[in-house]
Amino acid sequence: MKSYIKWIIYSLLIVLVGIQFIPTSINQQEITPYTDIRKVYTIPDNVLTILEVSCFDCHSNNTNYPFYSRIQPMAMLMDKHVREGKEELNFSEFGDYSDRKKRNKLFSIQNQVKDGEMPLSSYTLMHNDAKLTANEKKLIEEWITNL
Amino acid sequence: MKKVMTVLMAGGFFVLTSCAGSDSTPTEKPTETTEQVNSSTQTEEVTKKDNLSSILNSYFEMSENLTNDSAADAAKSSEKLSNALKDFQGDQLSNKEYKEVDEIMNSSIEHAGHITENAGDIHHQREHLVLLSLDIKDLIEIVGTDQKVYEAYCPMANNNKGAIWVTNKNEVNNPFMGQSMPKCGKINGEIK
Repeated sequence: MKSYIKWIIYSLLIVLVGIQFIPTSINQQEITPYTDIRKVYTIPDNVLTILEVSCFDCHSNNTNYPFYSRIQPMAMLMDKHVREGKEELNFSEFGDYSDRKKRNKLFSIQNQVKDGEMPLSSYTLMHNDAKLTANEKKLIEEWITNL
Repeated sequence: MKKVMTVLMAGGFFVLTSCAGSDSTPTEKPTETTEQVNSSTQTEEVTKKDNLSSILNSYFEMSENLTNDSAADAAKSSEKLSNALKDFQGDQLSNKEYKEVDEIMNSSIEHAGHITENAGDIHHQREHLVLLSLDIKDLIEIVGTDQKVYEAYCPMANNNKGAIWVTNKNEVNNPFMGQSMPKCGKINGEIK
């Protein structure tokens, strides 16, 4: 019985060490491309701060990685979220979107922020500062309405 | 202890070799081009003059489902709408028109997809109807249709910001408010 438990612990250790070798990509970019939303619209500072803190990690070409996110299996989960997030909306490529797509995305941002669907609760669980206050939600909504 | 180390290393190498292959493939960027719109599998025989009929009919059906507060039916008719949009052929359009229609297709297929996926969330379906209706209106203005179609407007839809929808009846059956206020709104005029 004892050796049985020992083997389970060994196997878990092996897997934990093993998965550390899984390569992950790092989502970071030195330059601010001309298609960046900051170059497409004038964004007030208080709104920009909200976007940077609460949205850019998954919706831009620059993720601010916390230390634990480089450890597996967190790194894999993070990678997946960033990949899916950018596919849906990428603020670094916003300028490349057609006018219709821009309108669609802004509309969705407004509604999802208002309904509390974004940022995802699984994200704010680890990033408490990314949670949006009622006032911050209002700032986003007003900014988009006035664009 | 020596034994443990050997096992650990062996395990590490095993996982490394087994995962590296599958994970290192570069993420392919989906090519969203005109091809997507053109790649219809079953093109219905429609007259060039009104090849929007299947698109419009499924849109009207979906709109009626939403007026009746039936999210599940709206999801089904929205799937029909997606297929009709994907089947659309814009052969007779000029290059400029084609580019615009291509963007409308990308956008409207996405909205229709959301309506299909949210069979349990009529609030979310109606959100997408706001922009989908603008797409459909623009599509009619570019491509044209034999049917008589009207633009209707409800000031209370879209969180009181107002929204339009397209209808083939010259009367208000509000898909945004549903059975709570089916007659809220007005007909703005015919879309040509």
